[in-house]
Amino acid sequence: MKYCSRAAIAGNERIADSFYLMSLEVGEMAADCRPGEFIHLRSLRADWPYLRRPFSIYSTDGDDRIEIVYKVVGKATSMMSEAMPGDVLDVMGPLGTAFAVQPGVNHVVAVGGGVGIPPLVFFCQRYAGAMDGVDLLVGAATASEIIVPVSLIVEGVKVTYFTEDGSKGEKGLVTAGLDGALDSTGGAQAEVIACGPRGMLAEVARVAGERGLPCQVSVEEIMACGVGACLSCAVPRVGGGYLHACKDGPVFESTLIDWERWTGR
Amino acid sequence: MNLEVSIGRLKLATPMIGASGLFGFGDEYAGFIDLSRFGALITKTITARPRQGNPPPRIVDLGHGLINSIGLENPGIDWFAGECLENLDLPCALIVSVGGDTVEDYKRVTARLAGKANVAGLEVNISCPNVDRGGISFGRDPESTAAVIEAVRGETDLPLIAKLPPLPACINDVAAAAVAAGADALAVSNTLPSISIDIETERPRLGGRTGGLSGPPLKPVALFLVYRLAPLVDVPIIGIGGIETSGDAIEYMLAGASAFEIGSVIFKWLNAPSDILMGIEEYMDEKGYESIEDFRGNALRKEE
Repeated sequence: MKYCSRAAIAGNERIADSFYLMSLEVGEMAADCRPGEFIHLRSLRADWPYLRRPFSIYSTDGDDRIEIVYKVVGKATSMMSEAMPGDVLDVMGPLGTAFAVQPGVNHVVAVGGGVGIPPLVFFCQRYAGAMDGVDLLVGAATASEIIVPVSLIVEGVKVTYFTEDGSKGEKGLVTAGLDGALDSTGGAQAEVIACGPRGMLAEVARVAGERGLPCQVSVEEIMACGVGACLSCAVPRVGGGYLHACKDGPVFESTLIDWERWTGR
Repeated sequence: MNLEVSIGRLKLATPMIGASGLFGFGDEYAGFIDLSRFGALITKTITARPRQGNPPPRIVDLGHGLINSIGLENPGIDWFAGECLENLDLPCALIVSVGGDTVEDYKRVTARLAGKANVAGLEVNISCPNVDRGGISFGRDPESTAAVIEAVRGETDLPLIAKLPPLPACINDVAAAAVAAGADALAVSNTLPSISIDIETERPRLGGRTGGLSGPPLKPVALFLVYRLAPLVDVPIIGIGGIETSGDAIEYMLAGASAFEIGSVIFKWLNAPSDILMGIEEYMDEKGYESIEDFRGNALRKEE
């Protein structure tokens, strides 16, 4: 079921440097949201840019409220950061594909970078109980950009931090921890999921591919309609042509994406 | 009050048409928009063979409008005329946008649509700015326009709409050529060739480098073209370009358009289609008009 509704902002707080947590009263849509899916929102303000903006769902109360985490990067997100509780947004959702746990998988290694972490937290909350083990590798440029809220502490999830400047956790890129995490899954049937910058996703896909492990990545691409109608959000597909982030994704099997074309190498 | 309009032999329940490119291949927006309020929906342009489209990024948000460079991505006529059409059940008329690299391509697509009961008409895209061959290169001059329209006309009895590019220099001749070659109506106009450049990377923002401008910045230009062409051609004109409100749509009809297409606004406001129709009804009620014909072209009248 897809919904479009006027959603009142219930909360909008800064949680780290330029990262905000927004809570939205979306109504019945909240009951249908799965990890990986996104909402496509637009302010009612006249000076909002032309297009809606897509945001991964971070949490749902299963009743009438969902949360998103966003980073202020441009005009739209800057305007969102100024919005007050009670302000109303136009929200379409839930859209796109969700992370799916493959049959037989009993250990998930989730790799997140920056604002890509929230949907992985949603995944952990939904599925950790059904797994023998879940590793969440959290990457950020620096400690103050680590946006994992306290609610992340989910039983059975082992969280490891990586910062590029070494200010929290291990120093280096989050992808440096992937081999180690996979080595210590023992004889488990492991799966990798990831959400973050394009280069990070490409590296995660490469490591998972070398080990022959299933891997799902959640991508971001400039988007217009959100429903597969305009074909703006093209992601290069293996074998030629394009996938579309809004409808075929945003969660893809990593083997479907032509990483060389998409990362421009 | 009656909102029905006639585009040649094509009778539409309302003058509002969903523009090609914005509404996918038919029902992508079902569940989000009440498509029964539309007179018709126009598909993305269908070509003889599947087209991959242009590299991303494919769209630039200008704030006040958009530039797109999709590049006519579509799975081709074999898929469209087969499984797509067979599974499509729309609450409004369906018009298929036909494109191609060559005149033969246009003919092939048109021929494959023969006898398809759920196709009400064809819009011939001779004005896409985002492909190397075909597209705007046909609509740029009267001879190639006539060649494409004649070829399509020869393959079908369906109502034909020629979608023109916004090239004021020769649009009168192109329009006349399209009509003489058998077009039943003109759609005025496609997007305006345009570009946006990132001053940090010093590169064009679009993967296809250049694109087509749509949204409110296009409206005065396309409206001008409708206004100029309406007195010169004896077929209906469909106004398209930057319509966001009922007032915008009414302007096009006052300039002589018999119907209008909406496009980019759908990305902003899903309730725009119903708001626009409701606004037109209110306008007609206020002015005492019974039909679109009662006020169509009123802005063309010269003061005594």
